[in-house]
Amino acid sequence: MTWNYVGRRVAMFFAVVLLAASANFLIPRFAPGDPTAAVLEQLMSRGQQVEGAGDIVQEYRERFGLDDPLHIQYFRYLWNTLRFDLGQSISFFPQTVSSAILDALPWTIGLLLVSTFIAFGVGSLVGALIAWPGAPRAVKALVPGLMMLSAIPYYLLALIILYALAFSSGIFPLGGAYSSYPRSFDFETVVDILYHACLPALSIVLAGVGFWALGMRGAMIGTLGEDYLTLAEAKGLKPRRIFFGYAVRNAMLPQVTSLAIALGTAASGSVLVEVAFNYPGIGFLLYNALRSSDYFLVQGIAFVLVLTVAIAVLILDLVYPFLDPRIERQ
Amino acid sequence: MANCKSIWRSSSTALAALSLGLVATSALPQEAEREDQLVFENISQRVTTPENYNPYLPSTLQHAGLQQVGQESLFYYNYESGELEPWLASGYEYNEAFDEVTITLRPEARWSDGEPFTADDVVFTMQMLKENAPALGGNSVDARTWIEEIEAVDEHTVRIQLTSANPRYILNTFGVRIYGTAMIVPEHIWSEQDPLTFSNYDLEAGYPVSTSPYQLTSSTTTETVWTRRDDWWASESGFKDLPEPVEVLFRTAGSEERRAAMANANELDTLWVLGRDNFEQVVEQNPDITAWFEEAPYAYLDPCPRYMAFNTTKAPFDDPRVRWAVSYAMNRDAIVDIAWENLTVPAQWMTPDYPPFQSYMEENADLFEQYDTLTYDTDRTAELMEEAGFEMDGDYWVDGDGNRVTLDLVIRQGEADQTRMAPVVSQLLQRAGFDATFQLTDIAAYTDALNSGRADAWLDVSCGGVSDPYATFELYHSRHAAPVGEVATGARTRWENEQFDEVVNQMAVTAADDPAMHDLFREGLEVWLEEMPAVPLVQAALLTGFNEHYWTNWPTESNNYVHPGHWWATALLLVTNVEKASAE
Repeated sequence: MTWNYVGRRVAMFFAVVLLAASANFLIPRFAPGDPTAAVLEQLMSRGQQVEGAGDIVQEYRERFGLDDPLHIQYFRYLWNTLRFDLGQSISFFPQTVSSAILDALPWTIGLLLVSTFIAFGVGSLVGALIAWPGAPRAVKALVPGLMMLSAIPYYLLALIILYALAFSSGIFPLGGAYSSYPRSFDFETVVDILYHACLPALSIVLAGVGFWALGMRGAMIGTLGEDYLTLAEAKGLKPRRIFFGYAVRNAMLPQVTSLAIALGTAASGSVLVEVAFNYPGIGFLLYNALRSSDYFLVQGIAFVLVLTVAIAVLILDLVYPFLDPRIERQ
Repeated sequence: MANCKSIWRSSSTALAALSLGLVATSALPQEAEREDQLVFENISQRVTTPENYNPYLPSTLQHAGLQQVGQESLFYYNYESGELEPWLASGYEYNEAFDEVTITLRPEARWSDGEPFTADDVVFTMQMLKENAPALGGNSVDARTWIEEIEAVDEHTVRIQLTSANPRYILNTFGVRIYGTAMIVPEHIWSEQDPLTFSNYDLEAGYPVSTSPYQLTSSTTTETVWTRRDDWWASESGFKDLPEPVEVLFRTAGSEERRAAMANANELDTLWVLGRDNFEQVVEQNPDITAWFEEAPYAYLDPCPRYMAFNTTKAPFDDPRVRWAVSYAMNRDAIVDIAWENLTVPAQWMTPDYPPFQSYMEENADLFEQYDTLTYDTDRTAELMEEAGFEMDGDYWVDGDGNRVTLDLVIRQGEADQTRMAPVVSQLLQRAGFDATFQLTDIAAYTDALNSGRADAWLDVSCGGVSDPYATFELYHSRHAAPVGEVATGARTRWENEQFDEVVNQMAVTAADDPAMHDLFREGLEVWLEEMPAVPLVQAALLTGFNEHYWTNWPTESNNYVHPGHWWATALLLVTNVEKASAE
């Protein structure tokens, strides 16, 4: 791998982050609505009379610098972002954006990371087996089911699961991450957190398995015709070794690329799962931030997501030449 | 299948490990038994500000416990008794001109950190609000508007010199007229803080420090927990008994379906709004669920009738004849039947059907005959539209240039009753020849549509007077009007009428029980009805429920010690009155 290659990839990383950060800044501002007015409206909808709403809105616009010209706001935002100062949330004022994200992040990482890895692992294995000539017939029969699962959006699956396993049968809780906020980490609390995570995780896993399985199946079919597999068989290697060491290993490359991106976008992709299950993660936070036009919180969450994806892709770009010696290193 | 199970088991273990590794908690007291916990539903979808208990920041969520059990009010206006019940205060007195009021405080009241609650705290709080208006929200604007001067006469007496006569100042500011109250904060803590950024949240330091019987012990985005303080000043002094719930929790349900399921499972003791069908199903499955009335309509009458407002600066709705034409197009019985499942009644005007308003409405029956706000008559709509210069072209009204009369109705998403009313109202308008559409918008887009003038009309809640009509009239005073593009307040119709303003100005300085109020009411009502700046639709009945599985002595029609709004500051009166079911 040459320094030229590394330099180009790193430059691309910064360009992507800058572009995405600019889009984060502009898009929420083109949406209608004023964040402070939205907060006050929420109060009025509950019957609270708000004296001098116009004055209050103006005061908070000034305080957050929203009455400055757009280019001034933009450069201030870039400067603050460079220093990782994401500012204060408007709708959750005086909480900082960083602390709001840090509060939500553990739940999202706990739920989504594990669910995505499970979906990836199970899906890739099943997909590989479907394409493998020596696999049992029962596995091949899974194809229609997997195709259906991959076509159903996360949130729709979440609602179906919620209805069937929580609302109708009462087997699982209807939402939230715990029965009562954990006050100590004993066995009971662990079970309670797991119990609450089951359904949201199940909806993500089910929706994901189909996607990964079909992707893997396609990659495997491409790999099966390769000469090195014929050679491996001719050498008399064990089927298991050919399957894992030759076929799956090569077919996994595009899957790994997708996984890196999927991990980065997992939080934004499953916003509606968190909303459906009232799960206190980053997706739920983003949904609420968007609903109340909280520019700073939306910017902060989106920036963190962009950064995650960009870093994941950069790492992937730098690691790929080691994974696949055929890749051009120029 | 066995493989799937093992994968699921291992993934669950990994998930737990990750969750445990990542979720930090502070040392918290041991959880109480469920039978000692009173579980309120937090009517919002989440605790929006779990680390902010500053009652004066506009972003603060008041009804996740802060105003119900985390603070006490000087007074509580009880809708059922019609009395302003003293609590932290023992009484108040106006001077003859109603421009000065003296409040007496209970000498035995104490803050949760043991410091005495005194007149200095009240003076400090109100001055802090006045000096930091408008940044500290509606209460600060109210303080800036009304307080000329405030002083502590002695340790337990506060004198407030008002900027002008206001016989309703105590009710509006310190009496929970609707929903909230001005909460007094401890001077010895707040004087060292910047009130514009102070979060008032530090569990280890015992914040928020309050006089209430409950201390915040846990606060997350989905739940807050308040634990009883057995050294509450009111129980020690004999003013009140110690409330029975050891813990009060506020939990989110999020959706009506989840609410119903949680009610069936006895996971909630108070419930936010359920539709009639849902409520009846829940009661069938769990007989412990009750509401204000045992039989239909079940629900307590909300103080805020629902209505349709216009941007009265925008043609053709700047013409009172067109506004009346819309009123005649409204079949209110259909709205009650379809959108409200027959749980309420049509609204003749903008005040709630509460006893104090009965005489006002009866005395003006002749006016309502002349300006009939309840009649559904599309022929009358046609007459008025033709009179205003419009003609029918096919199914729709058009102006002289052949442009259709369109009506863009904006609806706040998340408000169940308004969401149900929107299609009915639009359909009625369509039938009467208006090219009406409705759009459900989130809260930010809704305010933008109103402020920018993009909305022709919208549905809203008319929260005004509860004991006399002044506050309802005041919503239409022209001081609330503003040019399109700026924030209009009050009823937000941008309607201006000098004669009406004059009546409101006189009402403002007339005591609620003064017979002159009736003459002023008639005078103002006549102007209002002639102009019809907004269209009254229905009285609002919010079908909220209580659960008697763990707790009894909830307020009902036959046990009406207070009105039942459990998201209001008056909910402290519920908490201090409920009794443990297992003790019976």
